[in-house]
Amino acid sequence: MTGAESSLAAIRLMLAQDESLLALRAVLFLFGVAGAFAWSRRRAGLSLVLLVFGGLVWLSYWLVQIAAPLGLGTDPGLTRQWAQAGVSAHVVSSKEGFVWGTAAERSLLAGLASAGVPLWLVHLTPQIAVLFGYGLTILAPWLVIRNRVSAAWTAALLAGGGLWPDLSGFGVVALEPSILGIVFPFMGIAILLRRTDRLPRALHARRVGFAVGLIALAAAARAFQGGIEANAVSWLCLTLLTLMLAPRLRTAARLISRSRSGVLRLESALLLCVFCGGGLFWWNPPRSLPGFREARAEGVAMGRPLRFISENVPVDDVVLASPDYSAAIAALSGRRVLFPPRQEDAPALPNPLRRARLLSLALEGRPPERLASLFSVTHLLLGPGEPTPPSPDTLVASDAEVLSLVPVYQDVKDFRVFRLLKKK
Amino acid sequence: MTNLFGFVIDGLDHEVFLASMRVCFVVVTLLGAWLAARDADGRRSGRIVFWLGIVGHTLAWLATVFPLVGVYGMNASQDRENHLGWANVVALGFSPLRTYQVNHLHFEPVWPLLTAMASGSDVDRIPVVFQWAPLIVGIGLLASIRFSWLAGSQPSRTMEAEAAFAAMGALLLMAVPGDFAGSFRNPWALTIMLKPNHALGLVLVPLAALAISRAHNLKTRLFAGFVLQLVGWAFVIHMGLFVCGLAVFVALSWITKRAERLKDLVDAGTAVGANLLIVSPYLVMLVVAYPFLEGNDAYRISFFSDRPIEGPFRLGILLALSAFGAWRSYQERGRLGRILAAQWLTAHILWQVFPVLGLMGHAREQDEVFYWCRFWTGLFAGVGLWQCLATAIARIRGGEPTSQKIVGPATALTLALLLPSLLPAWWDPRTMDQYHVAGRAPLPDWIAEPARFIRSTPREAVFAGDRDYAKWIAAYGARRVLLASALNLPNDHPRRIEIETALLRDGNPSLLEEGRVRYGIEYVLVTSNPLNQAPDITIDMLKERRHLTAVYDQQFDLARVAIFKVLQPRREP
Repeated sequence: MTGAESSLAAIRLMLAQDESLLALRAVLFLFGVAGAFAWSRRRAGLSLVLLVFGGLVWLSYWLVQIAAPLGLGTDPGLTRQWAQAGVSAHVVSSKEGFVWGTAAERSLLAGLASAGVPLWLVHLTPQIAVLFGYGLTILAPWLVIRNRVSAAWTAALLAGGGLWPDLSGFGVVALEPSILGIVFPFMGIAILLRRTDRLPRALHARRVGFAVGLIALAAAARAFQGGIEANAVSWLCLTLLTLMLAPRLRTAARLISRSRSGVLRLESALLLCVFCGGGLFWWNPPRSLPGFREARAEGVAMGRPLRFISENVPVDDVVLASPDYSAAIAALSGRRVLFPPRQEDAPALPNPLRRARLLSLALEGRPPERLASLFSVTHLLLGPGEPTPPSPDTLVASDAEVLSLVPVYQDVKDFRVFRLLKKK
Repeated sequence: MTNLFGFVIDGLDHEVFLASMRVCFVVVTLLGAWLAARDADGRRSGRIVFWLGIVGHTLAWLATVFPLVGVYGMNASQDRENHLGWANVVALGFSPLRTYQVNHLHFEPVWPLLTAMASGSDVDRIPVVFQWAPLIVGIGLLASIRFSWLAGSQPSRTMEAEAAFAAMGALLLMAVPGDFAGSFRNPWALTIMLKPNHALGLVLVPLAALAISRAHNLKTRLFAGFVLQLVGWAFVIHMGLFVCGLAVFVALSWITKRAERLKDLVDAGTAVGANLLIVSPYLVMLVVAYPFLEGNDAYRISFFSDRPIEGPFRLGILLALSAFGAWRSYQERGRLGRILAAQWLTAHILWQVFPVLGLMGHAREQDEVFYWCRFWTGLFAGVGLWQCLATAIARIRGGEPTSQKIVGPATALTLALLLPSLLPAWWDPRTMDQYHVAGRAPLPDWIAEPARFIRSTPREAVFAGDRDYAKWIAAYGARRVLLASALNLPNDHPRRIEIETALLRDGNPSLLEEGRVRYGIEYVLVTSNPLNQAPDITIDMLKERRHLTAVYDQQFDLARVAIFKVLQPRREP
């Protein structure tokens, strides 16, 4: 481990403690109070900077704790995406799937890896997406609201996660970074809307119906899906709705309070409530984001054998291992495997019986050369609890077409790697 | 497997079922908003909101309990199992003033009495009563708030809608989706579903507020005191909190120099005095049976805790709306509005007192004050948004917020804007409620099977032995015990422990005789898990005791359970 890596690991360990969460939440509260106070003193820009800075600190606190690809091994869809990205980053042909004999699955992660983005950077995609998405939501008000103070006000409300508690989109963006792709067309439309008056007028005339439609869509999407985190549709709808409603909240404050200072006090109180009660302030990924707890642990046990495979197995070779290790081998060492991570997907592959036969014979210490060369298998990985195949001298001598298993790696965690070699 | 409704739930698609409940609520609410928008004279809107509250609560309740194989809280909640045990004791015909620890004075006697009465004194019906109680209490809460709001205000077209939003908010806006990850979990599930006895206190509170707001002579003041003491019997903490709120109500009257401040003082003071007088026997019981003055590390709060923020701010913009609603109610809704708004203020002040108590190790019953805080915030949040929108629409259209033409549109918009925050629209007990998840599994066989045998013993039989198992003897076997680790120790616990020791060890005849005569002990139940009070005692050792004879001995996957009959000591000639 390099000095930087060990420092990062130490920071992660410190941040993972409950006390640090409480301390940082207290700091975030102070940012909220300072932001609201700045707003009450007519410092809209300073208020927004304080709130956004607090939000970024808070998001970074959680995101820096993610040490392994988020969702790898916990979410079947994401596991396939990470596995494909790992293989796409190494294998020359971008059309090959991470399971031998299958076509590559398309996803943002795999696309980035194929495009030559370094794999370590691809692994940071969820973190980058969350921060990028946060930045986009802060910038969005300036695209659709002409009054600068109202735009700052709306951005400040969105900096806390929006008007509806616990319906922010940080979780969904982390799990589905490609969702941000939808945001760009929206922003393009917003920029176009600024240049023309006809459509905004039409929307303005039907603003109540439009707002109710967005709420209905958001509530229905959330109701259909359930779960703890808001889904993509409800997050996008409620963000749009916040964009629509936030300036009207300022109008409501003016209607309620007659004095200018009273309006500012009302607005700052509202800002404090929204920021300190919003989805950002109370976002708790270990409890609400599937796979976050698992991604906190770096998978130290498997790190060394996977590094060995990455450094010693040729990129076009296939590693034979039980399906439990398929995703990790493909995602983290970038080598193709013979079995998909989920057993249910195995029958759909070409030659399923031959694959199974190769594994069972390899575990017996008698991998047939014909099958191994058919699948380009050159190495076998065994994990803790899996028995070591019998040594060659105990096997029948007449097995001329059988490869021998040469141990090339073993560690104290009982991970073993064998190379499949022709008998001399 | 069947649920308590009698439906087979083996093939139930849990996820689809829960989604259908949520979608149903969303559709019904949107339909309600559409109907309210078409309400020309403002009469129907309030009734629509009120019925939406009932439908929403019913759907959330059904989503929570329908997929369960037993009563909600089974397998996971000690509180629920204690309550089942207490209700069983009363249903068997014993005094409601005693817990399932034989002769132990009770500190929550009303709910066991009510549930036992509702079951027709049949212990087999107790789980069904517990199943339906949250629905009935929830609807009672909606009705009570609406009735009090309407009865305590000047008649107007807006009152109906305000009252309905107050009721709906108190019940369905008291929680947010992320609450399950907080210290006190989801207030709706923990108060209404798990502890309907506490929710009964919430049902009575608006009625007490109404009675005090109407008090004007000695007779009506005493009546207010009588209603207030009902709150005390239902849940004494709510009575205490409400009395604190009355003190703030009076204090605010004096601070703002209101003309009726002396009347406020006399009315509230007389009602509280009368209440204390009536409820004093119970308070004595409480002091005797419940060691509430003892500090404890469990009641200590870290100086760096986020709880002061969590209470008020966790509901986000709903807090601001509730503050607006409370302020407007204080200004414009007469005496009842002032009493209720004072309760809102007091709830938040009290919550901020807890960190100080926590430093001394006395932050007891934090969860109840937290839920109290949420109850008032939710109640005024719905009202606040409605008032806000009504004012805004009136200003835009030109007119008064109380105009009949404003009510319908304001109600429809309020419903739409609140929809994503209303509990039935996001309630997913599969991921948000540990009691729901635990209740999906049947009772473990090492509890369920012995419970069948225990039910076959004489109804007056008392069990000694495993104090951890005792709560299950009471909850599922419907029999009383000598000592239970799930309850406070009775005041005579030293003598009980001596008798228990005699039963488990030497069999001192005089102690056995005292155990039979004074406590009615007939059986000893032990498991293969070591007893906390006597870890060296095993089932096989007890089989050697002359004063015990094994009547039940069964090995299960998780533990072995044995029940011994206590033999009568031979009298000396």
